[in-house]
Amino acid sequence: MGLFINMNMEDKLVQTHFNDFILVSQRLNSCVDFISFYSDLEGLLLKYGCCGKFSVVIYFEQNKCFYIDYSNFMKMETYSAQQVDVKNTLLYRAYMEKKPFYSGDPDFEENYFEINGKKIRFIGCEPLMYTNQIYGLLVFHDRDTRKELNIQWLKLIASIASTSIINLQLYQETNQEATENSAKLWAINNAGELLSHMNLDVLLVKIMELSLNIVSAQVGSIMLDEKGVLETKVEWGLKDSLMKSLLHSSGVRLVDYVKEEKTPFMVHNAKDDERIIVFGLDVEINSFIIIPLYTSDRFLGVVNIINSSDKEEFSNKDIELLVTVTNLLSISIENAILYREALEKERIREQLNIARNIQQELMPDQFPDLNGYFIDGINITCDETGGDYYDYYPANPENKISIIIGDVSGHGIGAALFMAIARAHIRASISNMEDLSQAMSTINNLLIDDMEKNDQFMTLMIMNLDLQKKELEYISAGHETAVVYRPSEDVFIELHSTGLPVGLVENYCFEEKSCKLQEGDLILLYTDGIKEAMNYNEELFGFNRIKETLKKYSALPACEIKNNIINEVKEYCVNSYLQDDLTMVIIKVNEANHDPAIHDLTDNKTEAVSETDGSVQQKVIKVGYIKDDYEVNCKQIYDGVTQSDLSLKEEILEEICELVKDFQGINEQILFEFRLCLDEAITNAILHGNDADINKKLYVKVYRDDESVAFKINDEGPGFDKKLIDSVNTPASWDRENGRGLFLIAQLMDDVVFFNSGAGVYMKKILV
Amino acid sequence: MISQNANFSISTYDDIYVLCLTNNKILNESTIIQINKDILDLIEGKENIKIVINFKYVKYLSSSVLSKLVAVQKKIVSLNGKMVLCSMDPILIRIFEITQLHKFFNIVEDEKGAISLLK
Repeated sequence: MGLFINMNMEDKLVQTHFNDFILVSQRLNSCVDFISFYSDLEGLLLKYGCCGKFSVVIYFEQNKCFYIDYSNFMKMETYSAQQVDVKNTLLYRAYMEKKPFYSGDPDFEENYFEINGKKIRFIGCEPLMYTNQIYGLLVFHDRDTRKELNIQWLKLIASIASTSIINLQLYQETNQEATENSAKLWAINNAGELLSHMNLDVLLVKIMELSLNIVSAQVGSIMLDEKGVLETKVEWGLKDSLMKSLLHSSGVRLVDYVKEEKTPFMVHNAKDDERIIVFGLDVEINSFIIIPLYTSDRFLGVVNIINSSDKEEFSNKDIELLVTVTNLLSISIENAILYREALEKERIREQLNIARNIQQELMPDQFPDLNGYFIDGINITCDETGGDYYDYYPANPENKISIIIGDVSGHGIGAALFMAIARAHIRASISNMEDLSQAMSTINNLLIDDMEKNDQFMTLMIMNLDLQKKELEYISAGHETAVVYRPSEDVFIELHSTGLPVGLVENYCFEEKSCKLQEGDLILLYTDGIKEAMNYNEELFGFNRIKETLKKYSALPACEIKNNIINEVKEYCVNSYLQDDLTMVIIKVNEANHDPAIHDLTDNKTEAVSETDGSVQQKVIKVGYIKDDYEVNCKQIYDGVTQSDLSLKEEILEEICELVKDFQGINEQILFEFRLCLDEAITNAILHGNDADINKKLYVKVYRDDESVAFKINDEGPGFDKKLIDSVNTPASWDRENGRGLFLIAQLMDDVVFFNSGAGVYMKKILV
Repeated sequence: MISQNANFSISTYDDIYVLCLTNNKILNESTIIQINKDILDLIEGKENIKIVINFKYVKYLSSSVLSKLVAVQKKIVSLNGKMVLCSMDPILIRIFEITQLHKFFNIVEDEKGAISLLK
């Protein structure tokens, strides 16, 4: 206190002014928004400057004109965004000369400026300066009625406000930018997290949430395009019906308009917007936005967001951000849709695989034991399932078998269902009716109702094969020509269609035909997929090629012929693709229980040779030859290739004996005989075939089926002298040292044949 | 007197040689050749030789063995000697029968019978 004791009045006034100055400066500089700033400025101008009404006029360098930033002298509507005409007025001079003017000054001439032609009076002004640059004016319109303006204070306040306004402006700009940046970061961060989201339903909900947050709205929906129709997937307070009732002025739904245009559609005031038709809405809508979701590949849907009527409009910055984020998330929506579609496809494929397995099991996989008839079939579908069908099973009476092949029009799951229905009808009808044409009529009548409804039909061939009479009866309901190949005469017998396919004409009468068979005949039934298999030049495999292929492989067992035909068809269309199902059945007519290749040896083999010593019955066999590439129709159980070295023989014999010793029907004696015959054959191959040349190879193969074991021994020699084989039927005379090997083989084995080249022997033992 | 090699043992009863084949599988070609050589060496130059070949332990033979036996038999015949085969498994006998060699060789049931036949 001591410091102020001797102060005179003037000193006190200066001290008071100083304190007030600090206070004013603090008040104006501490404001963080213009509302509080102008409110404080108003109070300070009145208190210290005795001025009640003022305006802040800012010069905009960009537009080269003056605008009022704030005024308490006029209503905001009057000056908002209005240019201030200051030309030829005192204000202009003040700005240009950077100096204040007050009424009463000698220079104070005009005392008004104009807004929209309206004259606004003032009584003084102070320049607003920032670093010696003038940027505006503080204009005073009136004074306290009881006091004069305190010009000294007005100058002080104007000086403080000059800096405060600029600082506040900078502060607000920085702050806004920071807010916008953090909002962008937040939105993009959230969107990024959603990018890898694969569950479509969850993803859409999260996108809705994010979109509403960006624009601070509460109501919206997301629609996705499903087969060309927009379906609402997420509904947050926005009804599907409401969104679909909003129409574009062209008459189409607004959402469909956005789909076509692929640009966001924003409405600020729904009631007054001429681009849209709002009709019969029970909810008041102010502003809304529809944003399309699309990628470069496809249109996905739309995001709709609505502002309730009491809320302010969307800001452009919000919309910009929303569009950026939805564009980004369109990719994740597409990914989730593709993922869902892939899952669905996978599920369907799994179901189809099950269907395929069931369908494959409807067709026989093992050929039945048919007493001299070999039968085999195959069905390859081009889709998971198909409409082709084959079947064979013992018919009634027992000495017959039924063989069926059919083709339902079309392929895929529909054809497969009909195939299953048809199979049931066919099996039931055939086993209950001896008369083939009666059975076929029944099948036709049973199928016709279902097939007609779906414009389906079925070609069907049913054969009854009499195993004893070697005769077949058949009906071919519009089916592909089946073929019988007779190798002994090298002729083909064609079994043409005998009538219409089934499923077309009710009570149709099917004509039955028959065909006599001979030993060695091959019967081939197939579907059009084989005949119409197309190569790369769009040429068909064709009937002639089927016949050629059948003939080419006719010497092989049925299953081998089947495999070879399929391979030829596949090779034929190797550069194209399978367009139809491939199905065939092949039947080979043979005498009972004999390997086809060697059956001609068996005619005389049990003929007894009369001998003085009756203890051992000898047989005479006819020497037979087979092709060198003959493939044995049994399971191969041993495959050995060694050098032509007699010292390796014992090891081979041991291995094979060990392999077969536990087979059913093998006893000590048979094992001994196997060892002996193998020994003889291998010794012959090494010494006579390969001429004991150690660099030549010896091939030993062992085969087995249910009733026999067979051995194939080959060498690389030029083939032995066929005269040697004469010794097969004659034991060497007692005084000859050699020449007993082949004779022993012939006597101990059940079937023995030689390869055409002479470089090997095939021998088989039936195990009883 | 009893002597032995890897493939057979030899014992004698008076003037009778008894060869007992001890290799149960006469299979290996070199074994067969060796046995053949050993037997031929044994009988070489022995006029009126009497020999028994015991097959008691033999479980297997091939036509190669038969050919060697035929060669030995022919040699013994040329020396006015006699050979008897004995103790042969029926499985083996069947091979001799099939090849009709049972009429060419003397085959008896056991060694005792073989010796008494040669005395």
